[in-house]
Amino acid sequence: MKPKTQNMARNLAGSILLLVNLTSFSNAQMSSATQILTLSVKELNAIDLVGGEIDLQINRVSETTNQPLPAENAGSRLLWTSNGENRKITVATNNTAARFSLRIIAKNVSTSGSSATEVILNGDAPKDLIRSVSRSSGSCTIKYIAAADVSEGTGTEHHLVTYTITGG
Amino acid sequence: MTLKCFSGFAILMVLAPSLAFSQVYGTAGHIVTVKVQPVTVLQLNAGIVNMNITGANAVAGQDQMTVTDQTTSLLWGTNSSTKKISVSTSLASPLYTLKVLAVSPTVGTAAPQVTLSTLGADLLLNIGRSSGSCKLQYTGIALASKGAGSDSHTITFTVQTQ
Repeated sequence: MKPKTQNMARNLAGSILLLVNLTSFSNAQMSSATQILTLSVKELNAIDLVGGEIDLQINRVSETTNQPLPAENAGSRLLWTSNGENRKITVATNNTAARFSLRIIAKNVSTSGSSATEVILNGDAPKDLIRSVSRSSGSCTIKYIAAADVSEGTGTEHHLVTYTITGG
Repeated sequence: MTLKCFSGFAILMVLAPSLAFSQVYGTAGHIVTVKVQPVTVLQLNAGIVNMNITGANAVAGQDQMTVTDQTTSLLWGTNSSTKKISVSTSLASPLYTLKVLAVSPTVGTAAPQVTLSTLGADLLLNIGRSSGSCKLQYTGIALASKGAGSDSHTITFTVQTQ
């Protein structure tokens, strides 16, 4: 083969290689990309009380029974969220030696959950207020009713009332 | 004298071309073809993202809980016009909702927030003949009614013709 022909052949081979390389390079490019994303939801429970301090004053007397009339307040709202199964909301007071009666009623319970009819706070163990809370959010109005007998005299009692969402 | 000069000039004229040609010993030529194929590159700066919804994400009285993540950057380069980037997930029946939004793209137009599904949805539009990047904002949404658990997505971003 003549030198000139050899050169041409060498150059042609080089051109073919270049084209082949360009093609394989473009085929190697990625037009998509992937990512693994894990979204985990833990078991969670949230409870909140809307409404400030409650002041119940017993200062009226029934004309028929001559007993002090109960004082009521329905200005508090209890809210909760739980993604757990079969939860309940209990209520307790820190006043273990209350002389006057303090009762609680959960009214207008929304969505899931069933209310106990009435809870008397007397310093014992936490008492069930709302049962059968499962995978839901909800709210209710909290009504406090304070009562006193004439024989119990006068005085002031403080309660720190705690609501807890717990296993049912 | 005049005849001598003319003779010398004539000899020079005859020899000059042969002198010039004598400096070229050979020529070679070839055709160089440069072909630029459609080239597209897509890259994520993170391979794995973990998102957790915990008690801190829950608000009492609200059924919906959310968590966001914006740690991932999407980078691309394409020499083709009228291109877009779509996104899809491998998880056909997720327990929770997962949304993604392209935030602050350097090139192109971000589509509205996308709820991920196995069907591809537009994430970025009008990215033709450019290189650029954007942040990916993931939003996980869980309802209390869905309980606890986890979803594992393989999310695929694809450059497509718009």
